[in-house]
Parts: sequence; structure tokens; C-alpha cells
Amino acid sequence: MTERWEEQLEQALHAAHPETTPSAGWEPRARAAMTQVRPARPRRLIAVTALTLMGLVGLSFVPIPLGRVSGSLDRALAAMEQLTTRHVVSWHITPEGTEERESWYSADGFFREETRLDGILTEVRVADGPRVKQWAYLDGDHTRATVWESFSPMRWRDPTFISSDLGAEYEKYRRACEYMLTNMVTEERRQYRAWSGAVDVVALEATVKEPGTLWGVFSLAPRGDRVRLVAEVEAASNRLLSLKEYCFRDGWQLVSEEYDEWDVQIPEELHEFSAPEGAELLPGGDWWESRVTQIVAQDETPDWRVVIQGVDVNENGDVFLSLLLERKPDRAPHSGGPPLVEAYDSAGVTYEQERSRWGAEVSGKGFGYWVTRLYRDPQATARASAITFTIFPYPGEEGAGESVTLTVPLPERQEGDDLPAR
Amino acid sequence: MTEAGVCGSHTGHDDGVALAAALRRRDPGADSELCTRYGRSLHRYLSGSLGGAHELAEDLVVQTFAEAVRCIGSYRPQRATFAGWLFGIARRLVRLERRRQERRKSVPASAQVSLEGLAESSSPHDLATSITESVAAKAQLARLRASLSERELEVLVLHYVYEFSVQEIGSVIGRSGRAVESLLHRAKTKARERLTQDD
Repeated sequence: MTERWEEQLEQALHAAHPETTPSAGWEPRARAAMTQVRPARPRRLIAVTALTLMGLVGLSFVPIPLGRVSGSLDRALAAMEQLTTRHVVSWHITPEGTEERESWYSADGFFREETRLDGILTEVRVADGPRVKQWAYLDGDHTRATVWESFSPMRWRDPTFISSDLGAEYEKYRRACEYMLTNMVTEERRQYRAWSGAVDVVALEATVKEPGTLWGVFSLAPRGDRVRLVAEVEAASNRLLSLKEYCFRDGWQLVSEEYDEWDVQIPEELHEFSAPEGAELLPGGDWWESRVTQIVAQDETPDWRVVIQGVDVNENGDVFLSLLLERKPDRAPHSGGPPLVEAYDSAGVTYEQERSRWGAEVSGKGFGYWVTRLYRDPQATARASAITFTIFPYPGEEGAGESVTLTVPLPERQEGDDLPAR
Repeated sequence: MTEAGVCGSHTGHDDGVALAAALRRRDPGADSELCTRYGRSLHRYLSGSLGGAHELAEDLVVQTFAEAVRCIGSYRPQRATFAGWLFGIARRLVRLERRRQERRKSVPASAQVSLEGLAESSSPHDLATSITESVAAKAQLARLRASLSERELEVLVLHYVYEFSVQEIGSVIGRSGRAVESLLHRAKTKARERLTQDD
């Protein structure tokens, strides 16, 4: 039974909170307010998630130094001989925008590369062995696409081109260090990370001596810029994990990044190739297919084997010389540089080498295929039956004086001007 | 006690959970259901807490519902009934509003005496009785205010007017059930002493 004091209490409390009737407009107002509001994530969940993430990220970013090491990149290159597939995701800044690339390599000769500019797919290359199919947009509006098929002598020669491809990068890296960079400081240290185990970090810092292209980026770095390259190699497997490039512009800026995965399953659908609708089919691309097995003439220097694999003459008498330059096995691997060629024919007419267009392919495994054009003096009318070439396989600083001289018959002239592009 | 006491209808605890789930999913009609079930009781509570400032109470009802929708992801049925959780939001808004008023140095709404509810009386006799009762009740209330702390009075209001359980009061004022139990016991003892003394 309720006591009197309790009745009084209830009355007093009810008087403090009398029944009320809100005005007619409150409910639409409340509904409108509820419609406009966006549900928030529970703060506790956010806090726990943030703390967990911070903890995990913090752990992964606090490497434990394990001391100095050396030769990590050489070991990474050697380890690639044993690998079956490679998957690379990379991006770098170009004058047109940010270019992203995703590539898959397989030891059986399969290769696929997709290129995106600011997120739009602009180019696809698919290779199965030495034959490469490719499409690309030729304009910024992505309306005009071309598609063509070509033959790559590199893949004919080296079907396990996983390693040769990275070898080419490595070679470019080495050459860039040699010719484009100065005041170089290299540091190679081993670290232990919670997630990835022991990792060798190779950090190179240098000043740009000659602007050029190193992994496609340093063309952006003007002379005198300070640049930094950082490669990471998994210590246990010697597998390359990542490559990063930085330029110093008001502080270090990341301008290129590449992440590598090895021995991954390549999805079946990536073998398919289809060009955009209405893509224009380009002829040609089979230049090397008919020449790569030919030996027209060959000779050696102390360091190089030089093979003429084709001599072609256009309707004006200009000569296209197809060459294989191969470093001797007992010499350090080196694919050389674009060869220097001097030539005169049996009619006494001299030829001038085109320097701007080399049409070359380079490998890091000690050989390279090159096509170079030699212009015949347009005033000369006398026909010749033979031509003599003096070929300098590596006209750079090292072995600059080495050359071979070979005389071969001049074939019949062919219709057209730019024969390799025909 | 279930939420029936608060809502004035037989809506069980599970219905509150179902409504919370519907709000979380942004089901059509969930907003209207929320208004229908809790609009009047919240308005009464807010109005009473603000000393009869009906318009301000309306604004805070709107804000309470908007805040409820915004924070619906954090509602845990195992820790509070939906009504308790909702009144907790309203209570926080009242406290914020009071702080705001203090900063503005305005006359607090609680200092005003409201007789608006009396207008609903149907006859002169009823009106006279209501006025008498109301005046007597307000006099009792004034005495209680002198003896009880604000927290003790608040617990009594939630218990006697809105019929919240000890656990529900805990979720409204942010205290454990045992703390509320102790608070309620102390408040009742003080109220009895004061009211029996007056008699």
C-alpha cells in the first residue's frame, strides 16, 4: 500500500513533469532532421580499430636493424633464374600524368602488361613466346586505337625472360648509375620486420649528371637534382620485393614505386587479348622474325662477338643494318650501348649513320639486338655491289676502341623508305 | 518494468530492439514509428527538465531523434532498453542546453512557473481543484528541492513519473544499477523525512 508521503511525492514530481502536448509541427520537423542525418560509426569501434591499426602499422614500420650487407641486387638477379612467375605493380609520374603498370611474367614465355594513364587503360601487351600482340590509344581522347603484332628477338632467344626483363632493368640501373649520376652514396643494410622477416634495403643517393631515363622516371629530374633509389630484397629468398625512386624537390618526393610478387598463379583470362572496337590494324612488326636466325657475316673483338643478321636497302639506296652484339662469356655481362657504324660501298660512296633512331632492344644478360639506318649520299648515282661496315659494338667509355670490319654483298633495293616500319 | 510505462502503450523490450534495428537499416517508416512511440514522453521529460519551456523542449525532441539516428550504431540492447538509451540522449542535451544558458547568463527556464497544463481542465471546479493541487504540489516540490540533490530528484522523477526500472535509470544517467538503487533509496528516505516532517 502506498503511504501518504509517497502520494505527495508522486504529486509533486508529476507537477514538475506535467503531461504535455507538443505543437503540430514538431513531428515533420523531427522526421526531416532524421532524414538529413547520416549514421555515425560507433566511436568505440573507431577507437579500437584506429588503435589496432596504429599498433599494427607501428609494428611494421619499426624495423630492427641487423647490420650491413652487400651484393643484395646481384643475389636477387641470380635468384630469378629459379622463379616461374613474376607479378609487378608499379606507377610513375610522367609529363602526361601518373602512369600505372601491371605486368605478369611466366617462365614459359607468357607476358602481359597493362598500362593506365590517370586510371584509364591506354595500352595492353600480351606475348606468348616471341610473338607480341599489342594495342594502344594514339590520342589523349582515347578514340583512336591501333593494334599490331610483332616478333621479339629477345624472347626468341631467351624464353625464360623473367630474369632477362629484370636483368634489363638492372642493367639500365647500373648504366644510369655509371653515366647519369654522380656523387653517389650507396648504403646496404639488413632489417628485421614483424611481417616480412629479414629484408635487405639497398639505398642509393646521387646527383643527376646527365638527365636520362632510369626506370622511366629520371627524365623528369633536371641536371643537378638529387635522387634516391631504394630497393628491397627478401633476405631469405633473395627475391626483389620493391623498388622506389625519389627526387629531392623541397624535400624527398616519391616519384615511382614498384612492388614484385614471385611464383604467383597467373589467371587464365589474362592470356586473352582483345583490342578496343574499331582499332586500326598496323602492318609490319615481323622484321626480326626473318632475320634472327640469319648470319650474314660475323667477327669478334676482345670483348664482343658481332653478327650481321641482315642488310636491307631501300628505294633510295639507304641501308638498314641488323646486328647482334654479344658480350663474350668470360667477360662481365654487358649489353653495350647503341653501336657506332661507319660504312662505304664498292662504288666509293660513304654512308652516314642515323643517330636519332636506333630501333634497338637491349638485354641485361650480355647481348643486344640493334637495327641502325645508314643514309647513302643522295647525290651519288653509281650503283655498288658490296658494302664495308666498321662496327664499334660499345662506343662508350669502356672498350671504345674495339671494332670489327666486315664486307658483305649489297642486296637489291626494296620499295619503300622506312623498311623496318613497313 | 518494460517500455510500456514510458510509451503509454504495450511496446515490449523486443519492440524497442526491433525499432532500433529498423532505424539502423533506415527502413522506411522507422522514423515515424520513433516519433509516435517516444515523441510525447520525451517532450514531457524535456519540458519538465527545462522547467516547462515547451518550445525549447520541442527543439530538443527533434535533436534527440536526430542524434539517435546518427548514433544508432552504438546502441547495444544488452546494456540498455531503447527507451533508456533515448532518454539518456535527451538528458545529455538538457545538460548541454543548461550550460549554454549559463553562458548566456539568461534567466533559467526552471526559474519560471508554468501553469500552461491547467488550461486543459474542463470545468471551473476542475480548474479550481487543479490549481489547488498544482500549487500544493509545487510547494511540496520546492521543499523537496531544498532537501534533495539534483541527482536524487532526477532519479525520483525517472522512477515515479516515467516508471523506469533501476537498470533503465542507470542507462539514462550513466550510473550502474547498484549505484542507482542506493541513490534511489537515499532519495526516498530524504523525501519521506521531509514530507512527513511537513505534515
